[in-house]
Amino acid sequence: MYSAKSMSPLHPVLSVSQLTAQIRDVLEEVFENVVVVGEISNAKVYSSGHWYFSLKDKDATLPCVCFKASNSNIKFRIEDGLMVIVRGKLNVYPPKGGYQLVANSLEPVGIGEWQLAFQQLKERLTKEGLLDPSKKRPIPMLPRRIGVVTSTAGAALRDILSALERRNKLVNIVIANARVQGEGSAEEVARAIQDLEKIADVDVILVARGGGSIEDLWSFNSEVVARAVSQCRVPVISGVGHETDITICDLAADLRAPTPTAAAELVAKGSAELIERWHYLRKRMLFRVEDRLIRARQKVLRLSPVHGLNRYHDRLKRERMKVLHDRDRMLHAVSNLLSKAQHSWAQNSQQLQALNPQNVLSRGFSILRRSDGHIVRSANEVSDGDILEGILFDGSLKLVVIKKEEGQLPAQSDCVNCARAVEVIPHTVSG
Amino acid sequence: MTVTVDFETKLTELEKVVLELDGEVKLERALELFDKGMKLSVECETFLKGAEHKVEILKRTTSGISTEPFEAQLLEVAHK
Repeated sequence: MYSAKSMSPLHPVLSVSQLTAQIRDVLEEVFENVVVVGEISNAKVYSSGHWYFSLKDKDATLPCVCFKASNSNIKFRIEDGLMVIVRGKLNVYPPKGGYQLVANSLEPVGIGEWQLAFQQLKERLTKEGLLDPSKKRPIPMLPRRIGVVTSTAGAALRDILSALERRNKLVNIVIANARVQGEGSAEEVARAIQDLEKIADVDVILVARGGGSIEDLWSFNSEVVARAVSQCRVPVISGVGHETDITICDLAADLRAPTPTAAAELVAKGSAELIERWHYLRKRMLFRVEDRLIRARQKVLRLSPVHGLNRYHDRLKRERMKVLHDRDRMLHAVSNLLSKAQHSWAQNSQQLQALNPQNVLSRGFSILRRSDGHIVRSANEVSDGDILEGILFDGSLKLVVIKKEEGQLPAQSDCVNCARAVEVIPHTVSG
Repeated sequence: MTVTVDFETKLTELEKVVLELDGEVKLERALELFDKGMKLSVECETFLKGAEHKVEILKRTTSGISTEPFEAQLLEVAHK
């Protein structure tokens, strides 16, 4: 064993192989379990499936290899510029006099392995134009036959069937069974799509599976499924996973639905709406025609003789009412007048009564009248010896004036047969 | 596919009929439209009644792929 410490002029000269072997022993023993981070450069994927690349940083470069056995599980592709953490062991390759790191695992730095793989595939397909929005085809409004790619063992199928059953009987369904996770599932899904397109004469295809982790959904992020969806001549609706999961299949499809049930409803919507529309139109048509007939009938009635007579009859009634009403008014007015007259008469009567001379007479006054009928008011109007008539309230007297005296009324205690002067009470006469 | 296209065409025709009926139409025209409309409506109804709700599944055999009826009830059993 050559060693710097035991240098001696008699030390044997090693062959290249011998030296290299010693180097290999040392390196491979010490660096048996290495974890190193660096940037990938010179990445090459050979047809054999082996990956060759260099890991480098600012100052150094490390050749690496990742054999097929190790890299078959790696979801992403190596590409220059990618920062990775590599685990493996150092290997010396004698024929070339070089060393390399034999990687048994690679993981990206700063991003999950799955996300990286997803991104890489998405970029690749986008570059090819497969995910282009302009490539999306419209979903037929009235599909007669729907193809469904899903697992018969999964809940998605049940959800889809019940959604279609509920909304829409117009639609026929053809199921293409495919495993939706696990080894080989991506290929099964792709094949199912192709089968439906080829032989089932469907108008639209639903690709569906229920929720799951990113690993569970991974076959729907595969290139083979993406290409099958993209190349399919029939429009594809993708309903994979939960609302928040987006897969490459979703991106490649012509329409993405948040869940399998939503996908089914989307597909059935058109026909369901048509059926509703038909119901509405039928109702409306019947209503409009009936309405029109009613109006026509009314018009005919209005113009008929019977109708005319009825109107005449109505008019007569109205006029009669008017007459009655006027009569009542007249009666009422007359009655009013009568009342007023009566009232007025009663009043006047009373007043008259008050003025009745009999009232005055019954109080003891008398009326003196000359033989020519003239009522004596003043002493001047009589002379002694005149014959006067004296009217009392209950009779009359024939009187002779014995002696006339001018001036005021005599005292109360006088004359039994003396005529008293008629007192003129101004207010009763003029009243 | 053409049958379904027919249905939609007929429905559009029916819509036109109803639209005209919505406006002021003479009685004879209204009855004409009604005739036409009812005919269309009945045709649509026949189509809808005749449409069956078929569920099939693809089967791969040695001779190729074919469709056969699918029993949805089997699904329920499998999940219990």
